[in-house]
Amino acid sequence: MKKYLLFLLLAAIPFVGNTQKIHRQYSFYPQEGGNVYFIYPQKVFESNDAGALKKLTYDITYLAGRDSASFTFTYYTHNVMKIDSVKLLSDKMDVLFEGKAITYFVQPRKNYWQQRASLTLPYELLVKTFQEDNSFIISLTGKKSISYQMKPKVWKKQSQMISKIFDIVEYNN
Amino acid sequence: MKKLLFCLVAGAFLCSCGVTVKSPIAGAIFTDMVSGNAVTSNKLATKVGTSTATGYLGLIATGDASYQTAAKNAGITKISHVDERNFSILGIYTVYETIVYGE
Repeated sequence: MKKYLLFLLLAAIPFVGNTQKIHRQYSFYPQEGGNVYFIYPQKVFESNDAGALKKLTYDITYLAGRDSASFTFTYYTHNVMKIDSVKLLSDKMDVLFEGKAITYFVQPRKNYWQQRASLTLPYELLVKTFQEDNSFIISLTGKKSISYQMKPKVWKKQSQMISKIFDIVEYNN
Repeated sequence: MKKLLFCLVAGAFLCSCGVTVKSPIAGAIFTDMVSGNAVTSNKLATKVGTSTATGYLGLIATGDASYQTAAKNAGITKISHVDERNFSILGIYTVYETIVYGE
């Protein structure tokens, strides 16, 4: 019995190790008026701010041929924090982009709040941002502000993966 | 006490072996596939939203993989079509994801 269980576990390992394969990280839907590319939610941004809870999860939607892409994200806070604007900053704190955030919803969870919002930003800027050596910073601003950044190791993997997806977008258009 | 604990863990593990994620083709060892779920007469899709439910050991399942939540997550008001993503390792860890396309 032990041997059988061990075999099953070992048999699953190769598949588990491949779960980060790139084709599992995005979807591509061809249609008239421009193909839709969607990068599945990535739970990678972390914050040191006391008011922030959990990691910020983001996903990207891009309609091929358009100049802009949607950067949609979910963030969790102890208290309600509706935001007005989002800044993308370089690791040297230079402002790369600042735009108005559209809040999709604010809802209570057990003992915290879940908020989801979207930012429309130039696609070319997004591509360039993911080519940098260090993670950019997302600064969410409302009455207060919270900043999120990826850890260097996470950024290395994440930037390679997202950049590869952007390459796929380019090759297919 | 150790035997009881072992029985509980083994029981949970064996139970999970028979439980896989909802999928057109389910693999007992491993499942990772995307399939179609629904389509409407709305052709255009400019937004994509997802919602997820997760299962552990075939005993606990939590989450919200509804169309409503997936649409809400992307601000979609007109659904074009819906896909689903199924992921399972030995039935011990399973993920069911709804992917809604629309505008």
